[in-house]
Amino acid sequence: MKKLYDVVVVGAGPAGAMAAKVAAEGGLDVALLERKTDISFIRRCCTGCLGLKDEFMGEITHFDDKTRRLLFSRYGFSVKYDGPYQNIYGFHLVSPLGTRVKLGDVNENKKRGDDGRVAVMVDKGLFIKGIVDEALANGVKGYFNTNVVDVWNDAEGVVVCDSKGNQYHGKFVIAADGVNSRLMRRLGLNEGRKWLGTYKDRAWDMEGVAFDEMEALIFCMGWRCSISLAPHVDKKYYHIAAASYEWDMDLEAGMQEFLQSPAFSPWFKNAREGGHHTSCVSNIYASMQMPFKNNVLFVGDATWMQECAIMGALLMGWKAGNSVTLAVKQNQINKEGVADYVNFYTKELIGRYGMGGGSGLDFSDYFSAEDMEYMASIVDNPLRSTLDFYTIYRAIGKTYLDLFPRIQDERPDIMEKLFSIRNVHPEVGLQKRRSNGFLSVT
Amino acid sequence: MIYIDTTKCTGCCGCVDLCPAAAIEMNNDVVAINQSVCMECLICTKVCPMRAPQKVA
Repeated sequence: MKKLYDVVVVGAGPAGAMAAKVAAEGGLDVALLERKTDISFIRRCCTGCLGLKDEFMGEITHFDDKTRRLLFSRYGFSVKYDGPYQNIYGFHLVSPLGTRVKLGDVNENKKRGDDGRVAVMVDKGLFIKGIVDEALANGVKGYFNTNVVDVWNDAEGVVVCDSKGNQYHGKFVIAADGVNSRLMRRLGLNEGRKWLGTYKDRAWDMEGVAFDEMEALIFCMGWRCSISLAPHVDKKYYHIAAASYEWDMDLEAGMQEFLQSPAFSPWFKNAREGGHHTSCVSNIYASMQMPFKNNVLFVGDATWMQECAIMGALLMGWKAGNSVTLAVKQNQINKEGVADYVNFYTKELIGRYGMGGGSGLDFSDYFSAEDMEYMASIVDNPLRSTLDFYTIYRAIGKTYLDLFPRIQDERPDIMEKLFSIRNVHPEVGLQKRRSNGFLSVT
Repeated sequence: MIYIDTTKCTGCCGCVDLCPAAAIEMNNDVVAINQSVCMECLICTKVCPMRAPQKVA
């Protein structure tokens, strides 16, 4: 006889783990399907940063160092994390010649201790394992080493099928299968979502890296690849990553070019590779308009244009887990039953951040290294400390708007370029990205 | 056929996700190709940031 779960959760990342835990705490019969066996071993690029301070999806998250809990006090829940952590005190943009635009001065913010941090970096593997262990302790049936490849509906509910042909039946399914969600594609939910390209990422752990103000997330402008740098939760290491929308980009060569450059080689003069290697491929779509179809709810990166970040994943997982619990208790196995989740998604994601889309414009196609150095050098540091990507772009935009008269005066050539890129149609950059990517179809 | 160099593979599953034939899966934390399903479209060789999948004779 086939087993009918109240809910089958696909994917044990932060969103799926949270959804499974919450549903199990509500007494639901839950299956959690995950393709890895060791969920504490992180294989995809991620700094494990949990943004604090800024309002995100209606929440301002705090990490309490005494109770070791990540607090979502507005929504009313918290997540235990006992592992090591690293405070992050700012976000810095660096010109190819080395001058920084600082959203938050690390040394200043550090003096204020925990209050001065903009994010806390955790061991993501341990963090997720903590939630999954709680879920399993509450009776969730975990199926690891399980690759889900298809989903459909039958008379009793929703069926998901793995690559070996095993079927799992649920009244509801929560799809937390990530940015390249196969369940999204199987249900045709990527149709009508604007495709923004295929992003490839590769990251290394380095030992022996040393420079000033290391405890910030750093984005280096103007390189062949997007170069981003971050501390590591294990203080012995430092985290470097190279990414590109071009499929034939040699990410390793792009990183070497950066590491050996005059401005940055001093930071890495005693550095060597250590720790482990991660990579990531993301097919980026504009956000999903409706995160529900045929009693399948979508949570986490599967729904969103960009990575929704660990915080967003936890919130969506928590909300979806609660919403499904309510629907099952009220025996309302349909969209109205999970209206709480659908309304939350519509209001707090689409309402706040829109569908997304971006211009796809690559700054370095228009500005030289010297132009970027000038632009970085005229900013009066530090700008407001933030790690919220929506706030960051607004803050930087506002800063340069105020600097336009000075730029016009000192560098009319740069001003001319700034005006000319305003007239470039957003599709120009996106076309370039799309022509270098691979749309996932099945 | 396509061969995945497991010394290069990080197990990020980019190829698993983007394979149009769903011919690649994670098996005991190692990425493996089902050769009978593979269409040799070479997308995995192009999307992999590590260049782990390679076409062999």
